[in-house]
Amino acid sequence: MGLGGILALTMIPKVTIRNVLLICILILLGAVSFTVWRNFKTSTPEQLVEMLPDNVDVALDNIDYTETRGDQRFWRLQADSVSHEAQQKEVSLQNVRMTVYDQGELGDIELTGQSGKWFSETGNIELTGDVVAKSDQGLALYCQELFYDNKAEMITSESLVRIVAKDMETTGRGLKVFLPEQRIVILSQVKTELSNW
Amino acid sequence: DQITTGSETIQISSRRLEADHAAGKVKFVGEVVAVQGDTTIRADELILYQSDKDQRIERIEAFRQVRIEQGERVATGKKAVLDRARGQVVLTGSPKVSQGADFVEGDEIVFFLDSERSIVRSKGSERVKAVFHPRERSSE
Repeated sequence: MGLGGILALTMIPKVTIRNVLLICILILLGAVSFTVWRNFKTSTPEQLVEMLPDNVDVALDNIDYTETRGDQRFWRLQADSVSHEAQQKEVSLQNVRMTVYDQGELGDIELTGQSGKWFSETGNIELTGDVVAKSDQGLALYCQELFYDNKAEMITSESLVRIVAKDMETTGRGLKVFLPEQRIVILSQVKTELSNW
Repeated sequence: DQITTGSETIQISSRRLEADHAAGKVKFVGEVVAVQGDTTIRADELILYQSDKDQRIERIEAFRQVRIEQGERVATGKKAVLDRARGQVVLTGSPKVSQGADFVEGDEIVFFLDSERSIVRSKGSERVKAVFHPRERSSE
């Protein structure tokens, strides 16, 4: 065996258990990195959440998500913190701010509340705790809980409500807001103060 | 944003409310009571109409079992239209105005909110009907 052959032998690392383990780890890391790179490089937040395996929960801070249909903004959701329970397809939010765009004469409507839930499958949203909804036109709604039905484009509440509009303040219990028709119904115990008549 | 109360303020209560923002209408439904100063209006349904220009309430209409009380005067009918600018209420649907035992009936009654005046009209061949009871003369 010539000098070259001897050199070659010493260059081949001793095939030991330690080296085999090292190689496996490298292969595994490589596979995970490749998967993450391939899946996460072009995904939108919604696709990111969809792609997560079912048993993975996510907690994020300071989220800002806008729902669009075509190139039209439909609504925007911001919150201090959010946690996503994959099993229930629910996103729980703290200190929520939601803007529903272009509601005809009402203009944009801004909803805020202490806590909220976003049901990712339906797009519905539930707000609780000092809920306030204000429109560009100066219409304001105060209540303790509010539910936004994305498909029906309707806002409902079963709690006491207070609505302040130009020259008019109304309280009652139970509410339905039909957004496309811009119709508001207070279901019971209505008391209104009309000024400037 | 506390609303200042003043004589112009109207307090309205009802079982239910429907506001149609696009049509500029707010409808109160069920046991409606509206109070402004010494005037109280009761009805099954009451609708506020907002003006397109400045969103202020320009007209109020009350329907079914309408009863307007102002001091001793009571006016009833099936429909009442309150016109803010003129300070008057036009009552139709067997309208009747009474004060104590005295009363007047016709087809249309115009009830003035800022004076003790009413105008009673009849239509077609119908005639206005009025019953007044003589006051007892104080003994000399």
